[in-house]
Amino acid sequence: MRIVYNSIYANGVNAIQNAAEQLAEAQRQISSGRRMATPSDDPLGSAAAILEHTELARLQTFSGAADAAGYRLNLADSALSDIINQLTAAQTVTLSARGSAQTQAQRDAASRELLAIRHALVGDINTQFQGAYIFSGAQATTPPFVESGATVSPYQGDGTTTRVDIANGLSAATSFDGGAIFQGGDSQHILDALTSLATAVAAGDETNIQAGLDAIGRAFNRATSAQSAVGNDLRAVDDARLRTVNDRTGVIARLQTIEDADLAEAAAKLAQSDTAYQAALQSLSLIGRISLMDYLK
Amino acid sequence: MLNRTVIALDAQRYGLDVAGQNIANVNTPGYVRRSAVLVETPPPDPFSPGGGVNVAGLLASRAPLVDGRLRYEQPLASREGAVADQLGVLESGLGQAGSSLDEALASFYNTYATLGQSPTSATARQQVVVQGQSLARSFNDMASRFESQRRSADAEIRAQVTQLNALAAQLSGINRQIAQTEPSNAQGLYDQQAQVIKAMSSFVDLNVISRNDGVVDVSIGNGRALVLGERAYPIQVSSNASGYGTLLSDGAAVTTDVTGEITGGRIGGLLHVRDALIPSYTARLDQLAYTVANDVNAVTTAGYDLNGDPGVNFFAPPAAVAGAARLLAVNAAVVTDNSLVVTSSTTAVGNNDLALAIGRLQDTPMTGSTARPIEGWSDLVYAVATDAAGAKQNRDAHEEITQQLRNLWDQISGVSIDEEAASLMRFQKAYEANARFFQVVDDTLSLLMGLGR
Repeated sequence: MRIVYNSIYANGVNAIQNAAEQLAEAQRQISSGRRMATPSDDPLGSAAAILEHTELARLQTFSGAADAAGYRLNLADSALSDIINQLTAAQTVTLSARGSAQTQAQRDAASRELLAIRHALVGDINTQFQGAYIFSGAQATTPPFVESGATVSPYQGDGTTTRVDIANGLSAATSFDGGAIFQGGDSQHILDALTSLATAVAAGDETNIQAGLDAIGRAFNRATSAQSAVGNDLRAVDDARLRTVNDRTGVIARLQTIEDADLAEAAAKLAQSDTAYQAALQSLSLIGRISLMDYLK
Repeated sequence: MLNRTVIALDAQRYGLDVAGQNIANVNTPGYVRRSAVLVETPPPDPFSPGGGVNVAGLLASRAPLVDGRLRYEQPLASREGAVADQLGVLESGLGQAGSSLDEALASFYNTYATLGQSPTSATARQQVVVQGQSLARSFNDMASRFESQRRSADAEIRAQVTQLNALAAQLSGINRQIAQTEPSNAQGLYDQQAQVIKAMSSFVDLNVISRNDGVVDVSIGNGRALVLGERAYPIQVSSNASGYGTLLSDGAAVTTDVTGEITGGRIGGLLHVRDALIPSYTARLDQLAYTVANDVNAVTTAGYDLNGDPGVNFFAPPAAVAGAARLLAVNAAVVTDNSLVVTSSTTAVGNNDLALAIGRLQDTPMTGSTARPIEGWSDLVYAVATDAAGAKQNRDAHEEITQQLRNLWDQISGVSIDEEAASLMRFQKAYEANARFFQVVDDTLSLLMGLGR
């Protein structure tokens, strides 16, 4: 076989270029910390990275939604606690004003106290979160009840309970159907019932006092069951947060495998390609020095 | 006898000349090493030892088989190289995962889902409009990136055709000279001819036919003549309706469109990128933009806005799939008035079911597809990446082969400095010996002359 300097040279330059390319690639991985420079370095990996990044953004949204739902649920929880306390107070006041031993002045005082409790209840029920009423169903901008003088409006919200997604397959309520909680199947809502009760207490009307106490009892039950539903949702929010944190850890770990350079491996490759590069340089310069011409006198 | 020795000295000097010529051209591309062919001059009569030596000619060590293989392999390597170059630029325009169109898609759906937390919030509504616009812009930018890459491929095709035509004209000139030159004096022209054909083969795949007189005919595509003997038929480029170049050949009975016939070489690769690959990516992108917009619009038009009016399209409805990505935009009315953003299937302002429904669109297959919106994008990235990776691999494989063929060519036709050094020694020694012989004859004759005195 004839060996020609030109092909030795061309092959040598090729070898140098290959070694330099590998050296540069190892250097790039180490300095950038990224395994891939372009999608074609790992087509499957780049497609997977896109899906994982999207999943990460989705989890971020879930986590934000869980926080937002958590605020509202906590607000609803404390509003319902207040409401339950007010209802209990109304029961106590009514019971203390009952019986023939009470004077008219005492009955009038109890009646006024019941109206004050009604006023406080309207305040609790009309709780807002960032300008949205949480007991109006989907009618976020309409207060559930409006108190004007001696009377209270009927329920102005609607029967919707709005929910948001807080994890895959998990949701939590962000507003509640006030009509179901504060009226339920009764002919009048609890606020009107308190108005009637105040009148009955002032008049010593035993039949209607009993009817009012029954209405308070039913409202009490509805409010406590609403509160336990809120409690369930709060637990779901906690679950969702935990799940999101775990999922996030998983996604980040997968993304690291796809996107991050294995530094130890890259460093080893750097040393290896450095050696190859120097060897290629040296061998070409060595072979270029030898020629029969040197021996021609 | 002296005369014969002079011829022998000339022959050895000729050998030195040839070695000198070889050494001088050691770096000349395409130069085929020559060697002097010396033959014995037959004896004039049976009693004579011989008539000395004569230069019979010059032999060039050509490698027609390797030349042919290279002509076949080079267009393949160049084609894949051109595709790899183009897609390398294109794929870098796709952006990094998590900060490109994928991010815009996810942000849009997620922001819409977040609006579900407080449907009446003007800020949250404005966010949705802003993210919608940003998504539309991402689609617009990506589509125009594809388009401009296609334009640049077209511009390169035109430039390459110009170079190919220049080479074709050069080849026809060389053919003319070869036809007019004695074959024995035409070695340099043959070198040039082979070199020009080699250069041409990196532009397109060629069909080369050599005639007996050394003139070659070159055709492209389905036998369209590019060079016929002393005549070149340059490829013309005419722009079609969308401004892309169509290649026309005059090397047939009538001017013929050969755009679809060229598959090899850089021009073939560029045509493949321009006419097949990028249009297929654009079609996918358009389909994605079209479906995303229509799926969102289908939800919003089924609901009610903040004012309790029937919902309007969130995105300006795309007129057709083609161009959907380039033209995608948020409905101008929604941009002006964000209370038109739809969150509810009822007139209740705080209802968020449709906001959640749009947020969930990212989790479900798109209409008429089995892929989620983000998968529509990741599939496109995967397609570009595999095409680019495939082109790179093929290019490397073909370049490996062409490199080996070039080594083979060098082994047969290349100049070896060691060999030429040996040649120099050989002819120098022979020259010295002949000169010595000349001296001996001269001395002998002098002796003979001295006898008579």
